[in-house]
Amino acid sequence: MHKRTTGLLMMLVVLCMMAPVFAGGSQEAVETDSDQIEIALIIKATDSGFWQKVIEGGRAYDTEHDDVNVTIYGPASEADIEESIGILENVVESGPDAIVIASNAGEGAVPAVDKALSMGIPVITVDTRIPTNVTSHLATDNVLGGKLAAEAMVKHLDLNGIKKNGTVAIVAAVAGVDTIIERDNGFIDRLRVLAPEITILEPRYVANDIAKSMTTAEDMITTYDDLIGIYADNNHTGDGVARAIEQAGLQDEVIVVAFDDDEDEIIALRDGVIKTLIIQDQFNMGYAGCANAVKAVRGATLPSFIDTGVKVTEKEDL
Amino acid sequence: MRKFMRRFQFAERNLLFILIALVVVLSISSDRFLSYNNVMNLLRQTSIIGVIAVGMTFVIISAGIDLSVGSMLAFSSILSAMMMKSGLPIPVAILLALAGGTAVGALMGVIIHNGRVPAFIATLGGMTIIRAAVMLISGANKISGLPKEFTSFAVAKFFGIPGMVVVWFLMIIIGLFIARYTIFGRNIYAIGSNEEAARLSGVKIDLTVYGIYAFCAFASSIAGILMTARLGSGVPTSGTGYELDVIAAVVVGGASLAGAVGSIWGTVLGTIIIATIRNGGNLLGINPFILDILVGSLIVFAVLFDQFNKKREKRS
Repeated sequence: MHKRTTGLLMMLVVLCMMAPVFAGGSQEAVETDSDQIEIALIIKATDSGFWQKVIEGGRAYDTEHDDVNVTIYGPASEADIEESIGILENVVESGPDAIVIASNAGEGAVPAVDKALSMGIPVITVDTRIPTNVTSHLATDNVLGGKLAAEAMVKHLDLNGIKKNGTVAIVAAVAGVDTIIERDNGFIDRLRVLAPEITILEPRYVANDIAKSMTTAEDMITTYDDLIGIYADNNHTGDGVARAIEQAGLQDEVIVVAFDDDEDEIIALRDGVIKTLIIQDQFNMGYAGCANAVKAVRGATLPSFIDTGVKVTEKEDL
Repeated sequence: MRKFMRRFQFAERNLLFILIALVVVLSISSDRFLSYNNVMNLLRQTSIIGVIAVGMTFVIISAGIDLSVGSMLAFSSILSAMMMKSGLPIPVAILLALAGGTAVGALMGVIIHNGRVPAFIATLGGMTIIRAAVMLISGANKISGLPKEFTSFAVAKFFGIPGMVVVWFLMIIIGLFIARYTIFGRNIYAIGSNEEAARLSGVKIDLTVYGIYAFCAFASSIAGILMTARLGSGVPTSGTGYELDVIAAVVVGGASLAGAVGSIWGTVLGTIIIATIRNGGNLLGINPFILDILVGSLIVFAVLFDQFNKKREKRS
């Protein structure tokens, strides 16, 4: 008896633990209308503000077009790479008219994507590439974003009357990721042309950790007397660098330019700690992703790369 | 016992020697290393790891381990940030977050002692569950827009010393007091040396174990509050990987994962040595990956040295 109760209890516990798995796997109800173009929009994670904006874009396209139905899929976290492959396989199995996908799975997603393509389903990747011959790729032109950041930095150095012969540091989110490397190289190349006298330090990698970005920025301030600018290449590095500069009270001596637009970055921009934000257009990744998917379904040939654009945002633009 | 005491002062003396050597080399090679600003920077950057390391020292002396400290930091960070944002007075929010964290730590002590679950497994599970809970309650989003009176603590100074560093120093004093003047402190060493013998000599193992993990969680929760003030917001991913940095500081400080060996002073020195290597490396512009190799080697050498000493002692 005792053993059986324990066994039952164990089963109950296991069932309770499984419940969120079943619940999490469900998607939005799909209206099955054969006249409609069915688009599957698969994102990297439902838990992040970045991807929520991509979803908004997809939903907006859905509401504006009666003949299109957009269904959203995605794992809870960007780390759930295996689950994201499972979701993709299920979507391909369900046979939508087109797939718009952002995936961290890289090589892992290739078999399912190839299968979809061989079934005649157009596949459009957004934000991150999947290494196979997809129909089209939509993303931020990160090299261009980096260049615009360099131009913004030079502009604000001039505005603040800072001589362009000091040191500029780069606080980089993660090592070995293409988007980050492109952003940094775009920045470095452009800054070298615009202000050849400036010494540009090697990017310092901080594992996308806000506290580490802050520590790194503090050490840069101590080490380089002639530090005139810091470039932060995503939201977390932007947050950390801005906090360090704000606490040191150096916002008019060290020019900060950063990528993305999370809440703390916007506050820093408003307070004049960050001078310029290079903001990606996630909404457009969802919206234009679906729009181009519809074009492909209707037989159009898409360019292999479509730039979703960046906005150079200053305090006055808020 | 006397030999044992002597050995650990020996370890501390060595650490002090390493630290002084580091400071001399760095102050010769960089004229800003000993500047007021840099020393305060270094201490401020170390204080968060330093606070947790005090709690971890007792866990490791008791022959246990606590892998949940990084998650616990995020737990108190998010909890306090959410409560402050919902309009609770700042001291109330801080106290509730500390109490919540400490309670979870005590619960882990119960699971480890009464459930006979190895500390490694219990806190590994705790680390995963607490981090997931933090993600869940925060929606994996940062909690920004905290009251300025709170976030300004990160730059507040008392007699020229940053507030965060003052908290760390207080924590060290509490740790020293527990280790030297309380029965609880002596019992921790007794359990780490031989749990069965400690039980036979009347040590209340259960209460001691609950206390050890509750105190470590309390230290992590304090670190979480400090982190929230420093970053100016509650960050659900903060503290990721800190368990390893903290364990490294304690081990470099001469504590043995086999238990019974270790001291608060050793841990403080270990924490500062690792931080000094990183800070000095940054000042000299040494590639950060090379610094990581240095720190990693230091951890292994600290234990190698410890083993070598033990062998020599056995022989004599």
